Amino acid sequence: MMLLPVEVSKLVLANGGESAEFGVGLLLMTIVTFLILFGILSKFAIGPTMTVLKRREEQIKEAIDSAKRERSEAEKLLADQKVAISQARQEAMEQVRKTQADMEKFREELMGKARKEAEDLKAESRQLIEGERAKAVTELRAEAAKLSILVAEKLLNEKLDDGKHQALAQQFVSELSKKPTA
Amino acid sequence: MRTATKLLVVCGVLVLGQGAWAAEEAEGAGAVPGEHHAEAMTPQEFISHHVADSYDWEFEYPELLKKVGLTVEAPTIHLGKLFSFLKFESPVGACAMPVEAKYSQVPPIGRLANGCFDLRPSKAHLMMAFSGLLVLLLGLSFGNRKSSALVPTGAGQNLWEAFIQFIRDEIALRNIGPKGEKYVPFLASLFIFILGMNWLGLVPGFFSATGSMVVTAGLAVCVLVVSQVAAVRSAGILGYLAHLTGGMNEMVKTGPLYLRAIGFALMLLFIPIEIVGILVKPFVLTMRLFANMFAGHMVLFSILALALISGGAWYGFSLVIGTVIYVFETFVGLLQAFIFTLLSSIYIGLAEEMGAHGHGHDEAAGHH
Repeated sequence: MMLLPVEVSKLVLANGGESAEFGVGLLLMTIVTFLILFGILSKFAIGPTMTVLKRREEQIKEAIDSAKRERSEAEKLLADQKVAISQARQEAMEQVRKTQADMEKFREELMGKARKEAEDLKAESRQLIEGERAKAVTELRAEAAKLSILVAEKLLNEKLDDGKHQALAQQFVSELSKKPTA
Repeated sequence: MRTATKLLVVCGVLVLGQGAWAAEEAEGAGAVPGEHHAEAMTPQEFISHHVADSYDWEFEYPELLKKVGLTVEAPTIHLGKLFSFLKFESPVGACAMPVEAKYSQVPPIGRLANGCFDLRPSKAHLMMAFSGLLVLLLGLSFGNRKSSALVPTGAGQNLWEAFIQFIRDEIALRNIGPKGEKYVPFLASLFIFILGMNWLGLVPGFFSATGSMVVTAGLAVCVLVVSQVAAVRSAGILGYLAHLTGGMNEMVKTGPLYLRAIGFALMLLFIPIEIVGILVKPFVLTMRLFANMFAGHMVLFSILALALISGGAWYGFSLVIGTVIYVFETFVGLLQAFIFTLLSSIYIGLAEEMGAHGHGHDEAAGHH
């Protein structure tokens, strides 16, 4: 015999009992119970859990995104810094080179100037010496001419034609001056 | 692994306990049928007593106590007597009257015809309430977290979270689509409630409320209402009605007269088909869950009833096979809860789809 609820119900009823199967109240109570359960669970147990799940997912996503972003930023920063460092190094080297060149130039300049000054001084001194010497020679010549005239006047004691004697004396002196230089 | 072993041991103890008293009871009931007429039970009665809903909730250990010398009355909660004010019968005793042959296949209608309108809570009510409270307790103790407490603490919270996530990702979002998020509370409540009812019946002395067709029907009605409301909301009331005609409303509106006539004839054909299509889904849900739970318990108690029929060596056999079936029933309880929820989500998904991507008639009739 099949013991389906229908049969069970019939069996119970046939024995004068009261079958609880297919109660109308049970259908309504099931729905009511489920609705109450659903209401409380969704508000206090499932809703909060879903919120937490969603929030955590968002947080993890955000964390991953921000980590990626920060990493790329850091990489960019690193690259920038590398460029900056190499630039700075280059600049420093440039500066050093430039300074060295400047120093060299300055030194050259200074040396040149000093040399030139020394040269100038030398030339000036020489010029001065030359001039003094020339002056001295001229004076000496004039003195010698005068002296020779005086000597000639004294020696000869003879009055000579001024012009003719002057020319003679001049000639003598010039010959005289030529002798030591030659 | 150790947890699994513990679980198996607990199951074994439970089923051995249940089997032991079922067998004891059966022995006591069947041993001397003549003497204890009031307590005597045929195997059929033994089985139906355990698988059928009733207005009495009986704790079935006295036979075992009798063995150790304690003679006590079976503690029974007489729900029927307790709530007798909810029983409305026009001739007194109408609810105990046998159902006439005309209604023999549909007892509720037969009983109504007898003049019996019974609203008293039965054992199934009680079990439903118990499992509801149990589920509520679990949910509130593990699921009620501050939204800032992002890290779950303890196994309970972790399990609850995994459960909600499973319902959301594997059932709601997969079968309903992006709109499925808002159905998660409904589906999760459904799943856990059914699971509670299924498993409560496996605790000795308790009864599976889902083994009563009316309970599964009540749940299926909830699914029907939710899915139809979803359909109306997604397709609009006109789109929903157009869908009921199987798309023939367009054919009736335009075209040559003979085509319109054919359309109209088809519409008359389609409307009942579509309505049946809507109603068959909750019916399938009802029957599948009920039949699985009912049949599972039936098999379990049939095996245990072998001890009643034969006794002796069958006692041990029924215990061993009973244990196996008990463990299997634990799995079936979980599986059926999952299937009920899965099918519900599929029905809701179909309803949501009604308005989303039109078959021509939906778009034409629905609001653009």
